[in-house]
Amino acid sequence: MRTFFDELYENYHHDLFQFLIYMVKDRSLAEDLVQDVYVRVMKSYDSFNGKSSEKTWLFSIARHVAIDYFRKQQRKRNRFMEFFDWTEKGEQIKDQNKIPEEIAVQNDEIQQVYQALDKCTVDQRSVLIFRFIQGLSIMETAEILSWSESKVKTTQHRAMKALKTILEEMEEGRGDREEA
Amino acid sequence: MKKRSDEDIKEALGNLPSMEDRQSKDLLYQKVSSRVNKPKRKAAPWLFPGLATIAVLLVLAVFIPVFFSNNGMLTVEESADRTNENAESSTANEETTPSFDSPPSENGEENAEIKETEPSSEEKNLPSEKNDENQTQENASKLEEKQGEPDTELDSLVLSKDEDGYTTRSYPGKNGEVILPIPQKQEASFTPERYGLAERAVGELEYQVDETEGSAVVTFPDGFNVSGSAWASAIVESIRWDLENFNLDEIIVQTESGNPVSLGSYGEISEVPVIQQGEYIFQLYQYEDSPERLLAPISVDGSPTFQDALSMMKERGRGLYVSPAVPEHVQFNTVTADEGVVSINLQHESWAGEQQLLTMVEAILATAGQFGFEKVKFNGVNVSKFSTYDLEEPIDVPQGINPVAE
Repeated sequence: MRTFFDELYENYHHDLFQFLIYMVKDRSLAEDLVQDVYVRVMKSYDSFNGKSSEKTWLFSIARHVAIDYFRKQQRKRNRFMEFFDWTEKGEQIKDQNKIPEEIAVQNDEIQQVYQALDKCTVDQRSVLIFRFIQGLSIMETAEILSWSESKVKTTQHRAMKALKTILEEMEEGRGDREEA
Repeated sequence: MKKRSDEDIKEALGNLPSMEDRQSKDLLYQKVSSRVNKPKRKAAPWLFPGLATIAVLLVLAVFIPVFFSNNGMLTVEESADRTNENAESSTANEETTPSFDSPPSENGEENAEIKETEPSSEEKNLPSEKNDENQTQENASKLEEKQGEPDTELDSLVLSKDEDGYTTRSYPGKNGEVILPIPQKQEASFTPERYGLAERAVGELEYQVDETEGSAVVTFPDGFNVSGSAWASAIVESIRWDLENFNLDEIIVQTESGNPVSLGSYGEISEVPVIQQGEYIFQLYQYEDSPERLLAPISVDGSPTFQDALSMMKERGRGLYVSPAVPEHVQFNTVTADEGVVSINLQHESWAGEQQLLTMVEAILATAGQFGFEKVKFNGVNVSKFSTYDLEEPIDVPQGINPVAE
């Protein structure tokens, strides 16, 4: 098991962690989720049939781990919402997530893009991370997401559009504050 | 305000910094291996007593009503002399007035069947809209439950009015039965095979469009030859759909030397009719196991009303790889039109998922556009959280179908 772990770690750990941290925007959470990914990989290595590459298989698991996390969060939020009016508080708590220091030292543009990613849908964010942060091809992205290539392209197109709109809105908001 | 191009966004994403995992490899391995090797947790101590209690309660819930109803039957049958008479009269009663208290018997089963097919008098007295509302609200809540899952990107099959830079090229389906218009971005590299489509039927033709005159000239190479009536039809339909987005009054066809074109079963033709309102409905095209789904225009005979067209959208058998985009359980009750806005009142059972609803909505929008409407208002869907469209408001018909972005 150790050899297998070492191999995965050397080859993919950096990209895997990058994917998770950009998905969940929280370092300690990404560290927990990366463990979950390895646990699932170790437990299901026998079921890896070699149809896809090891890399796409690993990322496909990582994406499912991230989605499971979002789903649990959603369920928790729904439970709370039944009893309390959390609409405002919930938003406040979310916005208090600290910007990682790697991002904090970057220019405004980069910081805004990092913040804006959070406002895209999970699918759009996945495609943007795979395509432009990890540099994967359309085909690799489609394989990881189990989508058709055209769906990847369409989602990418919409994600870019969404990101542009979000960035414009952020700038407008900032402009308004400065004027005030 | 700064305007960003796609390239700016790509560059900014590419410039996001690399973030390193600070936990060491050995520590991570220890955590992972301890979790992988952890023995499975024993069942919780309360599990078996809890299950036993639930089982007992279930058994009681089943047997207590049966026990009471059997008691009732015994009291009837206790008067021995009147047993047959009672049995007869109770049978007669059951035939005329179904009783909810009657014991399980053949008649009881018949009653159950009647209840399934005919609503009770109480239900009949309710306004039917009320019943529909209850039903659709239940269905809506089912869909909303499904939507509680994290948002997944749905396959949209239409090109909205605010998108530009697309040129339509039409491709025949694999067996040439249908022609599918595919709006593409100029820089798009489109492979028809990937979408389960055949090569273009009109690759050799040249178009000259004069929008101010409202006419187009399609030039065929001299000596152009076509084999089979299906292919001739594919050529004609491809020309019509290629030019559908231009506001044309006539499409002239000619050879390079200016003569009429000999086109198989069509004979010699010098004009192709432009697409008129109300000629097509839209259904789903999917070639064998291809993951790609497309909307296919299906020509309809006669001049159906829009409500007829909606019913036709549910029909099967309009092509080998073509299936209805509207599920069978959807009923179109009334359709009313007012100044370009068509309102559709529909009734439905539960949706297979948000994608099924989206595909239906988009196929109807495309069909409404083909019938000359500008907006569609859907009533009775009763899904408040539908991510793609706001069903509370009239929705614009699309500019086109099957866009390919890249």
